[in-house]
Amino acid sequence: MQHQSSDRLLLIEKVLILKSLSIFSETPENILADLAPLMQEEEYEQDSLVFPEGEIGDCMYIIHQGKVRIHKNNTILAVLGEKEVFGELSLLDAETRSASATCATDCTLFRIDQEPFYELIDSRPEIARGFIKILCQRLRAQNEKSVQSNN
Amino acid sequence: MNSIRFWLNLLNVHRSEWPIVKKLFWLQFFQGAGISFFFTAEFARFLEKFPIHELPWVMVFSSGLLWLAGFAYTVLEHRISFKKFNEGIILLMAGSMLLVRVGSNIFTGDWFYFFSLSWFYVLYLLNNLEFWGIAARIFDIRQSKRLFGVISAGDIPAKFIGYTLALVFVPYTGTLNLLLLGVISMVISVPLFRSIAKAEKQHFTDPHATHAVHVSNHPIRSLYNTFSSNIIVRRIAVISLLASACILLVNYGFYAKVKEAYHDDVSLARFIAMFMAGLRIAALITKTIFTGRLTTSLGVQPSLFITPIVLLLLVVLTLVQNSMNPDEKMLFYFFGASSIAIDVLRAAINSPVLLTVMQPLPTQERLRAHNIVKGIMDPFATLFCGILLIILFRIQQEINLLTISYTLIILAVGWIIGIIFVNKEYLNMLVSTISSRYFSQEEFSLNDNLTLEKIKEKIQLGTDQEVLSILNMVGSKQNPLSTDLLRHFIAHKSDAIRLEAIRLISQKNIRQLKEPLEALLDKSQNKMITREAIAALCKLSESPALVSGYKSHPDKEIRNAALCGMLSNPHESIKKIAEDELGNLLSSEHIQDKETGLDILQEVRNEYDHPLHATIIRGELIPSLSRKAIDAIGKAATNDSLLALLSHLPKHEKPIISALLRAGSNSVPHIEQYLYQHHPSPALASQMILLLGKIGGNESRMVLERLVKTQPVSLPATIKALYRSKFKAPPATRAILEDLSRAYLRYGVEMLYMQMALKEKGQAAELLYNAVQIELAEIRELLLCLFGCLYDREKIRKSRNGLLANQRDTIANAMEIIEVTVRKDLSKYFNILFEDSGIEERCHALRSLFQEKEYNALDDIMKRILSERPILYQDWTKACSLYVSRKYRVAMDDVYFRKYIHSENQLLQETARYAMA
Repeated sequence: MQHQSSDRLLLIEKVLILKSLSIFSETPENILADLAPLMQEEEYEQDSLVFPEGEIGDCMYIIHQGKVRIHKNNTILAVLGEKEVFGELSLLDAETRSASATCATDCTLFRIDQEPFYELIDSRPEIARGFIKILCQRLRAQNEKSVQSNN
Repeated sequence: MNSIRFWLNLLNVHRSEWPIVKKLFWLQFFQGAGISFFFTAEFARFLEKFPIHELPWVMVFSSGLLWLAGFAYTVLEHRISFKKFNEGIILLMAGSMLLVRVGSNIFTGDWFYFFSLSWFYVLYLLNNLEFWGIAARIFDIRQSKRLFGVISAGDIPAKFIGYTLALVFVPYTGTLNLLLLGVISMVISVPLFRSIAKAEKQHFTDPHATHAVHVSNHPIRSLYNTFSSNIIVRRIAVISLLASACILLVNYGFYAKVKEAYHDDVSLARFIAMFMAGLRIAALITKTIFTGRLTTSLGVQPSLFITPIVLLLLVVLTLVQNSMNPDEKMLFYFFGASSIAIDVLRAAINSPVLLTVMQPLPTQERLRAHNIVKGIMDPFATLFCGILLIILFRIQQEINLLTISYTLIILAVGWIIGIIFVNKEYLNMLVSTISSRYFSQEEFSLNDNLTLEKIKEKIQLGTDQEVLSILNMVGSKQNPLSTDLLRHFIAHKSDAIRLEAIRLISQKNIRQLKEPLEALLDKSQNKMITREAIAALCKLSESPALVSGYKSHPDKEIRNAALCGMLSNPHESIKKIAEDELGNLLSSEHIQDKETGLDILQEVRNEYDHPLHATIIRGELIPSLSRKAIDAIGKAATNDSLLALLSHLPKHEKPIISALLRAGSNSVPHIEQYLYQHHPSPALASQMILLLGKIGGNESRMVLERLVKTQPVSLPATIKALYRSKFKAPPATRAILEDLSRAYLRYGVEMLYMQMALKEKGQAAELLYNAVQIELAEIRELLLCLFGCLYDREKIRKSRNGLLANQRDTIANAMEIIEVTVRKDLSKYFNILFEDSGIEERCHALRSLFQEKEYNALDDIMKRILSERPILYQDWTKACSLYVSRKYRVAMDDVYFRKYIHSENQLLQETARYAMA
């Protein structure tokens, strides 16, 4: 069950939330200030589905309050808490969701949609730069891991 | 507290560096003392037993030992961990001193005297390799310049105390027992080394802190490769050889005369100890006080000249004096003075600066370079001097100081020439070290038959991707295209390649290929290829009759393609037919016809614009078409179209800015006019100014130059745009840009003082501290843009990349480039302002640029930011101040908030309302 929150955060506070996320940690706050207006605050009750597995993803979520379960049917893959994100790759590439996300508690999430994000990248390429930098770091770490496991 | 600061300032050491500098100083102190005890004992014993002309044999003998030691060092240093290896070296030095002491009682033959004095050179080499190897790992280039003088200064008091103690003890202990004191000193340095290894674990385990360095299995080959492939290492090696040879010769000449004056080992040891002690105290003062400052203020390159020039002057003075008054005693004194001066300058300036020059090299290469310079060139120098002196003695049957003086002059001149060559290569090394290793396309000639045959072969056999790359490469060449080559591309089996080839033929107006295009049109089933081929044929055609068939074709797609081609045709008669046809479409009552007309216009926007375009852009008749009409703006846009385009601003900002960029230099006068006449909002003005930078060209640069002088509000955007437009400041503008650089440096210093005040003031201050950091980053960017316009743009670009990479080494190298590229009074402050060290030290060093009163309270800083002084500040910084004032209840007058309530920026406006609520 989803609601729009009435207790609105200031844009500056949203920027600080974005900055605290690993995915935007490399992006300066003055640049994130342009991204913050795209964050839509949404409230979910416990056990409500954020998105099902197989749905085409076109947005990412930031957990402001509460916990979210990432699961495939009944198998829980991860439980994410505050200041964690999920579905972030959908910001760059619309693909089907590989797992479902369900709220483990009452949650306040911020949602960023792909379309306005793309438009923002047009005028603020620095946002994509920070984002890509973090994705590259993850990719390198993953490569390192697979090399190690192969060895 | 203040006295610590005084000493740190005097020594040019930052507070955070002090613990490690102190430890390194003491490490060098104890090891230096050990070596001085050893030298005093063995040198005195040798001089007492043998005439001075036997000393060159020690040089020859020691060169062999040095090579062996250098070889063993090179082989073993990569096989054993850095920590264990260096600890092993220290223990080896201590153990060998003990063995020499014990051996002196057992072996009484002459050979042992030669061996033990030669061993001194090995100890000296091992100590050098070990100590500088550690220092080079811990410090980057900028730290090296400041600190190498101080840390290596430990060697001087050590030797001073060592020689003084030797002077005192030797009458009682005898010379041999001084060796035991040497052993004790060496052993004391072991725990110091361990403490350094523990504190600097990351440098001891991983040479580059962030990535592993793979070590070669062939260290000697690596050394050879470093020597043969690296020009600067080769040149440094040569000047190091010449420097060592000069010092050996000047010392030899001096000791020869000393030997004539003193005859027993104790009096010799006392003289040597006294002389050496005096020498060291002079060197200590020079090294700690002057070396760091000299290299920082003079720069690394000029500092290298000091020692050889002083040597040259002293030797010339000696010769002049001798020619006027040929007194042996005076000659001896002059040689003594030269020996002291050169030894002091070598220890205090030449060695640290030479090592600093090598600091920008990658870690492994730098260590190999150290090994080459110390481990290989020193033995060469010793061997060279040994043989030279033996030959001279055989010829002259005496030690002739005048002959040595002439030899010294020749060597010193060679040394100076070598430095000129090193300096030439130094900047190249800095630039190439910082550069990313991108693939650079080699130039090739399309007139060369062999190259053409190779390309044709590749077109036949290569993958589609490879052939496309070749096509792009061929298309991007400036020299005339080979039509023969393009025939091969058109005949390729891949549609994608054929399509690209047609576009290239059309773009480059290659009329000779009309026939193959027609043949292709007959054969091809692909609609895209058909369309492109018709457009190309209609563009290249010279007769209206030939294109009329396509123009009146029943297929709309073919008709449109033909119109596109005809509109780009240089023949007016053909163009006129298409223009009339397009006019009919654009003025048609049917919206679909208008849309078709706009599609055609968009297709040919870089080559043609229609007079009716402007009316549609204005959208007076059909507003919904104006967006499509804006997209049809290109390089060929007329003044009317551009005026119509700008009439929409500030609406449709994004598509208009893109359209202006597409229009290129045609839009420049319109942008300028808009900026002066319509006074757009700061955000839009910045966008338009940055656009001028992207468009580039002389016209843009002239407009930007005018804006710098007339629009102070938009200065940051104008500076960035100037840099982007590749502006090279003419003499008349240089002074303005240099003044701006000075102003931004002052603003940067004020930001730094703000940060110092915000440090440790809690959560509220942290937010502001980070915001001010962003301001500093912006100021750094502006200064780099200004430097790029004023000085060597390419070097500044490399430096900027180095700073953006944000690694300790890349920052240091980037600053080094700034130092050698930008004028001194700017580069000096820039580097201090942005170097990676404590805020307090930086503020202290930049205090002369800070003209405001120091900040103490948070609200002082917030008031300054909200009053937009001394800079306008980013909206983020102002929003942070507004937020902090309310959130953390920092009392401030509403007057500071009011002007932001109506800000265009949503963030600023919202935070101002929050602060006022």
